[in-house]
Amino acid sequence: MNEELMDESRDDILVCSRVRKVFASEAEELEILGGVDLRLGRGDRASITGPSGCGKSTLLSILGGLDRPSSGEVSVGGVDLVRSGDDGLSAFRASVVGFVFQFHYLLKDFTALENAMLPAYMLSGDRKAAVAKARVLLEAVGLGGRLSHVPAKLSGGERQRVAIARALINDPAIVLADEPTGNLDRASAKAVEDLLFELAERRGTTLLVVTHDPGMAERASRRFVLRDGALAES
Amino acid sequence: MSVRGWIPFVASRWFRSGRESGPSLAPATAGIAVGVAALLCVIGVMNGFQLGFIDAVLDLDSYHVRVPAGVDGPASVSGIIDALPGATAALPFVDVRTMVANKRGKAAALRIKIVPDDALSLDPALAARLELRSGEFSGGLVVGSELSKRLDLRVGDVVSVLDVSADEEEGIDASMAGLSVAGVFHCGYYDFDAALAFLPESSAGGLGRGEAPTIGIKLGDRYGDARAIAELAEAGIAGAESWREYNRAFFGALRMEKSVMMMLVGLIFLVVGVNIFHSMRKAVYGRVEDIATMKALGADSASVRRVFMLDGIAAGVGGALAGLCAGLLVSMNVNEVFSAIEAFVAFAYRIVGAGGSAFEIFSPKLFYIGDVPVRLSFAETLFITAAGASSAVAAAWAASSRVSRILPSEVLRDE
Amino acid sequence: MRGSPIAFVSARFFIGRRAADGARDQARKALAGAVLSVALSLVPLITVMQVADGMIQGISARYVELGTYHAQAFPFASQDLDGAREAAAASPGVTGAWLETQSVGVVFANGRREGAAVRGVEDSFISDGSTAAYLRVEAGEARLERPYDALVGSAMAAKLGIAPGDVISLISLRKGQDGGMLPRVTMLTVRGLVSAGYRDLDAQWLFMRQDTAFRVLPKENARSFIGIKAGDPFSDPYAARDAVEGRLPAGFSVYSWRDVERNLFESLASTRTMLLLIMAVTVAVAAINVSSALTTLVLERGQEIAVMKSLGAGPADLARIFSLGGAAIGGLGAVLGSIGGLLVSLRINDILAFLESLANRWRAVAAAVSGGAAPEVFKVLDPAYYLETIPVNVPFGEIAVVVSATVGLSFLAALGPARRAAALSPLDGFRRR
Repeated sequence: MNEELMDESRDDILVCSRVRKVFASEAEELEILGGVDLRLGRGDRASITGPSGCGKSTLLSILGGLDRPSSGEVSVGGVDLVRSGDDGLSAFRASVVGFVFQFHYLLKDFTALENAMLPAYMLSGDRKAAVAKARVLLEAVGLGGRLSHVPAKLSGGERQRVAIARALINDPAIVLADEPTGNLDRASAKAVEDLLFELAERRGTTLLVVTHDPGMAERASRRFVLRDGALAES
Repeated sequence: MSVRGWIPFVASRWFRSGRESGPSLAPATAGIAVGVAALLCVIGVMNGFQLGFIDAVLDLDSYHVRVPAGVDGPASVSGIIDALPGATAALPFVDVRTMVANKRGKAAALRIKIVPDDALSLDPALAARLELRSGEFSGGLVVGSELSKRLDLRVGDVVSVLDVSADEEEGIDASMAGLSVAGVFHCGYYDFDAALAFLPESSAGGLGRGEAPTIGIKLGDRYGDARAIAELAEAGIAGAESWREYNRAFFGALRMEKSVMMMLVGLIFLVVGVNIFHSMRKAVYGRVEDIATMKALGADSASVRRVFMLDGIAAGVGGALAGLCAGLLVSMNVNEVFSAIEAFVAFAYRIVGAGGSAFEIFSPKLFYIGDVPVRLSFAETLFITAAGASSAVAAAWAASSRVSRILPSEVLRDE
Repeated sequence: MRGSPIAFVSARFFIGRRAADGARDQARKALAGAVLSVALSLVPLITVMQVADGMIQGISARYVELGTYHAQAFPFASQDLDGAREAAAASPGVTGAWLETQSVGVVFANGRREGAAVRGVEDSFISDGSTAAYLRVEAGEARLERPYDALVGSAMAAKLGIAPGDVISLISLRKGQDGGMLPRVTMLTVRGLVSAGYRDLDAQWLFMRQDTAFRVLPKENARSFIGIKAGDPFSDPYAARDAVEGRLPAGFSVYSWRDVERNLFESLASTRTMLLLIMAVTVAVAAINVSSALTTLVLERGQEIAVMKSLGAGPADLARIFSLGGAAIGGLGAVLGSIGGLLVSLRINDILAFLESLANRWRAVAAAVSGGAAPEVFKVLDPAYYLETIPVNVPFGEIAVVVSATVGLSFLAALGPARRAAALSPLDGFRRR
């Protein structure tokens, strides 16, 4: 596996080597991640499983530019996340990655359409184009008839589908999903899972999901397990 | 993130539902309006009184620039008019500090200003300021209304004026001169109405002889004094003095009164700022998740902060403009407003059944005024309005500093 | 609910426990902010009240002790000034009675002249403790020993350019035998330059001996009266008048200083009232903060409010909790603000001196940087127009009125949020989380 990591010829979208994350409290230092190595190629669909509190979400935050590693190297879509400033990370999040969280985190004062189009509006400043793009995406996730509903009027599965549309709107190179179906009932969970994988495949987007659900983990082309701060491909 | 069109889009959506997450900014906006309006009225009335005094002093007595008069040459009236294109009037005068007594022997101190016979046409500002109650400006002494009251002087009365001259060898030579009262003026400034008189030089007799006249100059713009003095010096006229020099203590005290007042009333803006600060912080807390989400979607802290700033700007500018309108409206009609308040208080007294003396805000008996004067300069109005608006903006800026400390990786975790 | 559980719950509501998550601390901070802004708004009000009181008191004391006396006895049908003076001095409670002769004249010195308010007074009046306390001697000494000694107000002395030892000419007007007016020149020797510290009072002062003034100043242009002092003129303005009432020879009428200077005090008092009204606007605006802070509290404690309601607290109980809480905030702010205002006014002279030095230093730096001329020295309160020192004393009664008005105002401001808390349904409160 080390040799594979060294192999620079592959078209890697995500390169992460020797990433450590340590939380220092007053009494002790808590090592969450102890030297994680990970490479994903363009179009890979990967899953990470592992016990609760093993640092899956922390790793995802680091890969998404929401958090910084204590040491190590992270480069996603050609952006060096360790050496980027805060504004650089903001720009990275706006254009390179898309997030789907366990909780939908839609803005409650905005309609489904507005939520989905907001990242594009923020990136380009072109509201009309953003709305048009969001409309297409929402239709693709099956919400064409619910464009002007606010999150409170949508079901859990529908909200998560809006979140997926929002994650995809800026055509990110990679989508990071953190337990995207964790809050949903079985039927909705299945539908959201299908949608996520199908869209990623159709659009050639790299996908990295963190999940508890063995079924979803199985569906990934590359499967990783995070245990005791170390990542292993199975 | 070059284009920020989404900021007002998000801001407007958040204001609409703002009451969910914290107290509305409406009371604070009203507070700013009240502060701006109050400050405008207070400063307007203060200005009215102060500029009334300053105008009276400058127009009647001290002029804008003074030059010791020469017999002819550049320092004569015509020479000065030639040298100063900005001068609206120039006339020689002599101030005589003396005493005047009526027929019964009652005396009062008086300053007599000896001016050319055609002073009123030479100096239109003097003519405008000097309200002639009776008589005319020729053939004798023109005294102030308060002096005429105190010494019981009417037009045509003859008064005795002390005429003193001093000589190095002969010592003091004091004699009396009889002058007739030709007119009674009123200018609204007590010190002048009580102790200043004008005397056309053809009626002066020997009064003031031997005293070197001074030429008083009035400028179209009295703040152009420094340039006028420079122009005079260029024309070879030395010794010119500006109104700001010889009235320094008086004007300095007036300006100080106003600054202290500005500071005291300006505290309203500080109090309103505290209110806005807390309301906005509450709003930021109420939207921690939304802010974290926006950041995860790629918005940088400064942009999210600007969303909140818009809220403060709306409150500040809205309040300041409302206050500006209210303040201007009240100060333009301050006399009507005061008499309405007085009528209301009188009415309230009557209801309570209390007798009491008539309530007056600025009693003419105490303040020696008829109407309450109001004046606002554009610069001060702008300053007050801007101060009101910026208090809200500053408070919003301080409150939104929290935004940069909200970390999406801490807020958006579901473990 | 009874009173004490309400007090218990509302205390917990308002003071609260330091919450683990910062969000719940917002209400505490907003309440602290409301207290702070009420306090802040009261500081200038109390300071203005205090300093204005002090200035009025200081001005009054100078007028009364140096100018009008505590009471004046005028002869309207009598010539017996000396007898009246003896009678007044012998009256119980009277601490002093002096003759004074006033007139106007022109002072001539160094080729310059100024109009003067001539005051012929007794030397013992000048040296009396109550007078000397307010009369500042700027140069020379404040004595009128020889018949033609004079004391000159410092403002006029500066205009005329005179110093102690100089001889000045006082020109007065008298009626000649033929009925015409004649000037009369009296030569006086300046013994001292004096100041009352208040320009309106001392700008034209020329003191000379009363006996000389009575002799040389023309009767038709002079008025003589007996000035009387008795105890504290402010606790009882009419004490001096009442003390001599009925004891003077016939033909005298007595006026208290209050009547003589009525217009002065009314204009000072009404200026003070205007100032206080303007300052009160700030307090009203601060009461809005109380309302906002309570709104925050209602929003944050929604759950607790719902719990209390489901436990049987009525809307009236909740309304009471919040309106009384608002009053308490206002009261706390008012007390703090009053203390702050008192401290500021007690140290007002130091604060003004500090501001002056700060402003002067800044201006000096600014002038040095811009290369401009050296600035004139800047004084916050110019003694030519104000008192040189501001005396301060504490009016507890008025402060109590201000504090209770603030509490009332805060109570009114709290009614809105209180109604909101009362109207909150238990279900809403639970759903909020």
